[in-house]
Amino acid sequence: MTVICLVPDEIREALGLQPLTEKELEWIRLQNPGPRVADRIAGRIAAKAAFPEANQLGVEVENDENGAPWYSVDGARRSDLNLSIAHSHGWGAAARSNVASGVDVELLRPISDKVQQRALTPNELQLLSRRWATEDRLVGFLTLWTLKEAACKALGLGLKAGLHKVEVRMCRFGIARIKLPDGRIARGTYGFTDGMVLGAVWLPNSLVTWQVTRVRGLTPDGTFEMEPVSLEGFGEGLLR
Amino acid sequence: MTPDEIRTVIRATLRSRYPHLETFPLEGTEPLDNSGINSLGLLQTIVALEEQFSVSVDDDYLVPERLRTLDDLVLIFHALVPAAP
Repeated sequence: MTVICLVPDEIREALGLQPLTEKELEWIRLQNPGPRVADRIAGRIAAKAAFPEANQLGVEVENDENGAPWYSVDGARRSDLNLSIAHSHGWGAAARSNVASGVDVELLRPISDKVQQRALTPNELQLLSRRWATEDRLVGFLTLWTLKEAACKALGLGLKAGLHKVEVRMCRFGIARIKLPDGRIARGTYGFTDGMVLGAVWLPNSLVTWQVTRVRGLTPDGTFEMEPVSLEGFGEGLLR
Repeated sequence: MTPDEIRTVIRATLRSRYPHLETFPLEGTEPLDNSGINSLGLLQTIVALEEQFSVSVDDDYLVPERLRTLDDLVLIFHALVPAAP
């Protein structure tokens, strides 16, 4: 099961730094002195909230030398859990899974045709034209972008994998197929909520299930108060 | 154009696209990631600079390791922009 957790900008603001440990705050202070601090905090909160509820208090999110995030529970690395974090404009998203996966989130905003043409492969540009009407083209572009970036994260490479070496081949009814640089086909899903586009991708595997949740706040005992999210256009929660 | 002239244009472009960078130092070696520009924002910036300098950056350069800092951008565009006669 993959748990995808979203932290809206207003919730991140309301929570402040309360959910983070001193070690996490130190990492944020050291790595990110600039304007992305809010995004980093949102991503950290999403990651902690994506962890099973009973253990949230002992959980810390750390990063390896390449910046890839991982869970630490009472000081020990949970290498059985895959963690992917994304953020955009104060929102945070995280996917916690037992298989290699990646997540990305983007604010729906104007992106020029020229940028779209640079970002997508010729096949993806054709898919964009076929699959989305002109008035929905922006949603289509951001869907393809988030899927590409999520696939790159699932590979553990980020965009180092090469923008055009990861190609979305199919994207329909909330389900996507993404060709990886080695020719394998990964599966993904995507959806929209509150002006945000979310994409999640899993490396080839026999069966993937997922659920999407959103942080509402903190309970008096310091665990996260969550609610299920039904994303417009998102897949049904099962990929074979 | 000299590297310094190119750096000035890139700084101005970044600040016009991202008003919050008005007060951000944008030092040459400061990771752009720290300035609030994500990967899609960086691609948008590259395309804007391509238009500004009338050049085209090869896709091979569109990877994070080659676009980490302002100095990286200066290096790429200095190699592409013709020197003044």
